[in-house]
Amino acid sequence: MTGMLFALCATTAWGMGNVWIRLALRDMRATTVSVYSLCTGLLLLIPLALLLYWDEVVSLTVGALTTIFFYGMSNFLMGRFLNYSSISRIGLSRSVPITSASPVVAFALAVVFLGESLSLPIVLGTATVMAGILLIVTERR
Amino acid sequence: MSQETKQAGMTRTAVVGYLLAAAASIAYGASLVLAKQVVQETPALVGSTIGMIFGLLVLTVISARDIRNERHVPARAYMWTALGGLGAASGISFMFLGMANAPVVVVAPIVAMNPLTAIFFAQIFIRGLEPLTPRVLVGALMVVAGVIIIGLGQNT
Repeated sequence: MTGMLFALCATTAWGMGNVWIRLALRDMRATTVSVYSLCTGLLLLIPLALLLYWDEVVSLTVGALTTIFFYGMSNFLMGRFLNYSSISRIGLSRSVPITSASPVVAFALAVVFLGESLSLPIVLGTATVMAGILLIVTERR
Repeated sequence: MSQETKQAGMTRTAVVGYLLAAAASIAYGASLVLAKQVVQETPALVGSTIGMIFGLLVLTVISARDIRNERHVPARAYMWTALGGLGAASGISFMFLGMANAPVVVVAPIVAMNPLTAIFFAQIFIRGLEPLTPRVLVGALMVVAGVIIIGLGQNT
């Protein structure tokens, strides 16, 4: 039950976070919003990480830092900036469902590069996601 | 400006917006694959925090000019951005707490509902900015359903 409540808090925080970002994008560029949002996010995450995982932080290897660097570029540089740029152009109701289809991309990459196998739920889920995106994208505005 | 030119501009903006969303989805998808590697080497919260610091450093360099030019935007924009950043970061923290207290099969479908909560709150607080049509709502529902099916397929 506690885990479910935390998960609900997560989805609520992201939902409201997107609404606030949409409001900020009326007056600021996506680049600036991305930078400032990362700054305030770090104000919360840095103390938590240091408090809970000090030993792990100080013992990070160069190899781990390299992987984390590419993860940061992909998620917090590219992903966040492109996401906010998209929200500023088509609004969050249209943009967020498309960006949330990332597990489909992740699975496609895992199949191609990590040799993961396909299963019926994966194929069914991917088809459902693609149909949903098609429905949004082909709407006449 | 003629009606046709206006419509062409709207369409171009929309096409660019959809392409940016697709590119964001690819970037996030690639980050999910990298995240699998990251969590084998360090706790997820540490990986996210340091990844965020790397992202911030590079993005600050790239967007230095925009930051300088936008020093005089209304104070409310800074407030919304700060709240948005806190929302995104607390979402990450809550997700990790959720995963520490429940199996992924329970947490992942709830977290996947994120687009619906975003649309829900947008309809409550900024309906004027975010017109919602039944078609977009059904599309979002299908995306969420598909992501949940994929998540369950991977974790069962």
